[in-house]
Amino acid sequence: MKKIGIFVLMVIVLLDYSLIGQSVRAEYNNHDYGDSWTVQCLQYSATASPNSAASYTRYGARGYAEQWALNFNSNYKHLSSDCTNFVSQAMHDGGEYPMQFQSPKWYMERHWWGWTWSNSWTVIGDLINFVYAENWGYGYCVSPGYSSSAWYGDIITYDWNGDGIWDHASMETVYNGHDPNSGVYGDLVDQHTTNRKHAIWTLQPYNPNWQTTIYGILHLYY
Amino acid sequence: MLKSISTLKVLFFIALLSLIGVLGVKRIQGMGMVNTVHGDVIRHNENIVYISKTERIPEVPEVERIKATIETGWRLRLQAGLDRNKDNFDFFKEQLGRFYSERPSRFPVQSPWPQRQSSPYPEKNASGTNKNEGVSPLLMLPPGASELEKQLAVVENGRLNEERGNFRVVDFGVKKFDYKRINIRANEADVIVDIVFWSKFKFENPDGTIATATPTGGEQHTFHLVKEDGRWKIDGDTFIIIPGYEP
Repeated sequence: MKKIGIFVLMVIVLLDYSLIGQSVRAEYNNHDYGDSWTVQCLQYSATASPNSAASYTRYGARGYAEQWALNFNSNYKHLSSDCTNFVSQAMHDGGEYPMQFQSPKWYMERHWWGWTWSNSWTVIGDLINFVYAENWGYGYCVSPGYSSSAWYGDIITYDWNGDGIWDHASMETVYNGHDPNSGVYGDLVDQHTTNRKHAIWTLQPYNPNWQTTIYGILHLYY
Repeated sequence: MLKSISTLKVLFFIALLSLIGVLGVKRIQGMGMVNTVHGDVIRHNENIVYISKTERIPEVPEVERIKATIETGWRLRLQAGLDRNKDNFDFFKEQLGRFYSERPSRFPVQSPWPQRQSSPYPEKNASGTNKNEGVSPLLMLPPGASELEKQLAVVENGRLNEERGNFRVVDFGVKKFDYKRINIRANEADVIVDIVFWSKFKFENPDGTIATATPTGGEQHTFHLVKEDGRWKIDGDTFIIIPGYEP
């Protein structure tokens, strides 16, 4: 009888967790940022101003990225595609941007039954939408060069297949250095998924497809 | 009751015919021995090849033609970007037209940023910065651009990445084309294929030193092909990085 009771309780807990997860996702996905999508790589319309409620400690974000580039912080869930999770951790833990639990959401949270997080914490396209919605920064396209044009703590975005959807993210941590792995000179980044510390910001020595790759910078205000 | 018995009889008869090879396709030209035939799903080694129920047998040789179009067209595009072929771009442009369609691409390029932009702070004024000096030609494609235009933009994007990124691509090679699915419907085909390949780069540092790298990558491509004047052409190509091959 006891065993049946425990079993029923576990089923209820699992169902509850599943439903909560669904509602969180549904709520996030239903959020409408209201912006249409157009190519905005060459132009800036200097109409918006930074969100004064949040400030970014970019040296702190950089320090976090340097500390955890090759390891995983147990305060956060480790994901198989961990790149945006990593830059979100650096933005929050080192950069002191606050998590947001009200829409638009940006958080990763541990509960007694497991983890919950917003898509904006773990998916680069959703993080960009969130940063725009909160007016924490803006994005622009770049072409490769020694310098990325990013500041410490800015996010480099990569579109591997050239379809206009960002696939990967890393964090700028060094100006003008040598990638210890490849010997290539330029600005360096730290990243997760394939964990790298001080990789050349273009990641070109690790990416055989030089033809379809597009680069962007998500510049964060301070 | 009578109806279900009749149905059973018909099914039994069909199964019998299949067993003695009347209906079953045991060998397909260019594909070696087929392991299993079940409905419209044909298994070939570890891969699954779907072939439509209608005109099954006449379509089978098309599989090889489709594979040839993909493998030649895709290699040709990379060839066009190699340092040694830079002066022959017109030749490659013409050749690419044989493999890529002038119909609007099935996988058009989207816009990467939300509309609102602002720049209240000055940018880092670093030397060597190429910010906005040349946006990717892929992002400049007009709506409704053809797959051929897209692939030419890909070649141009690669050339600009090389020039601005101070590197050259001296060689590349394909390790395997691993077909996961080929689905043919009359004059259209969908193909999913894993491509594993390497490229050899030479990077020039400001101090004159040269660094080299030969990364290997794995991409799962989704191709869409159409038959134009009896010839298969690619009118859509997109891919994702195979887990484990992320740069």
